[in-house]
Amino acid sequence: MWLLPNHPRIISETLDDEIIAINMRSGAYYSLRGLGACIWSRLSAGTATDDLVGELEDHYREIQVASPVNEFLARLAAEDLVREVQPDVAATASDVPLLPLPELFEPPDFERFTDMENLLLLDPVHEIDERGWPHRA
Amino acid sequence: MAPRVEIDVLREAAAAMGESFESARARLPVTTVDILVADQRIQLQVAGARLAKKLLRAVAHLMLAATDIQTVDDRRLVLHISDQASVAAPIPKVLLAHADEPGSSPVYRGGGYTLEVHRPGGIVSLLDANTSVAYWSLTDAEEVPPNDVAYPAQHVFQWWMAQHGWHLVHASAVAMNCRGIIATGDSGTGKSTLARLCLAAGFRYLGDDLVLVGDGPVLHSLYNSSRMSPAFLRAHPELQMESEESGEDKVVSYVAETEPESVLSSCALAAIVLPRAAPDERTVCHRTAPSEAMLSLVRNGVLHLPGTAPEAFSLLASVARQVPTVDLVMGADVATIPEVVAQLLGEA
Repeated sequence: MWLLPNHPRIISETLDDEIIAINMRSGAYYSLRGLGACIWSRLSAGTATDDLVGELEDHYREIQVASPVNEFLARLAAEDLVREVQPDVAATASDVPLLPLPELFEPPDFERFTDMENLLLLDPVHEIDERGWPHRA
Repeated sequence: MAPRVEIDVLREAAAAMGESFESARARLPVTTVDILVADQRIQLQVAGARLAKKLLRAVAHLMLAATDIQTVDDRRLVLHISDQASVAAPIPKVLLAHADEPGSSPVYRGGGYTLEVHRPGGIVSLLDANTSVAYWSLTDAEEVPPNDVAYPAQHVFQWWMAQHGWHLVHASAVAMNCRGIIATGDSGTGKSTLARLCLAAGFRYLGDDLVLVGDGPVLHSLYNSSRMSPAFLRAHPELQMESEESGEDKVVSYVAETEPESVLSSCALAAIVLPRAAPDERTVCHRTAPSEAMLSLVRNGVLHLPGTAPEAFSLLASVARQVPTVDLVMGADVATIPEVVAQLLGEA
């Protein structure tokens, strides 16, 4: 399976070894650090989830990584941060630098901030194209 | 069900705003001034002498003299400012369509137009990038909200400047030797206090609530107004300057009027400061991760000002990578705060 950041709804930037991501539709924003940030960088580069787990199993030999990693991936998907794509789409992923894996394993995680969600509800931005807004079904 | 808005509606809104301003021009004296914001020449046309006097103070430090106008690039943006109470202003359809959605201030963008209907109050901001014309229409010139007097037409400025690589952030900014800091943070963290303390200590002043950040990174001033709590100023009389009531338990000063030599239009950005008011502690600052700056800037520079988020996010991330971020605990020993900032600028 291939998961890519859910652009354009999700925008993200890398600062040192951390990722800040924003959901432009909901106003929620996220901080990913440590292994979570490393996984995000690999997903952004088009790494298949099986290959991702394989790399982590090789790196953290004594640790059962599959379960926490798959749980993390499910949480990313539940937040709309990533979407599943076909391999040909994954092959066109950006050439992003891969963050180095931490030496010690800690279950990947992200921090979610929702303090701006109400602001976006009150001040929504409606993009109007040739279809108008709301878009015709 | 949400009403349907198409680009034609935005086009009609722009035409209606134009007709409204021409109606104002026929009835009221129009004050015209040119200001230079970064590399953008913006002509402000304000209908009504009282409204002009009230609003133009905030940007007076950016006004171009007649001789300077000849040497600056051709006019870039014309911003028309008026109020609906002074004229029989036709209301654009999109406003009527949202009459039943109190509390919502939607922004519509498409076809080169950006339109915001701000509620409550009914203030309309519209930018027509196709013709480089903008409108900012207040409800009543006699009842302009205090924040709009101190920081007029901020969304129009935000949209126009964003198209030219500058982004407005909620931050104060001060500088020394042409190198400045922005202090970004939520309301109550001490941004304005920091700016006023540094100003009193001889720093140059670029703003206390909204400043422009550009690639470089570079800072540019937009407003010279400074809104402070009167209670704080009573506790620190050495920081008082000529001021007037500004509503919401604040007083406003115009630094360009009280200390014109202290106002600075632009400088290099040397550091991002995350202030925290801590009256029970001692003042101290320490370096922190750029992601901390970014989290604050997401709240105060990306999501807080509508319509320019992706571009602002990218620019501000680039800035956060280039300059140090420091946490500044602003303790009871307020006199040391400017010294700490000066030392930071020396080391940054």
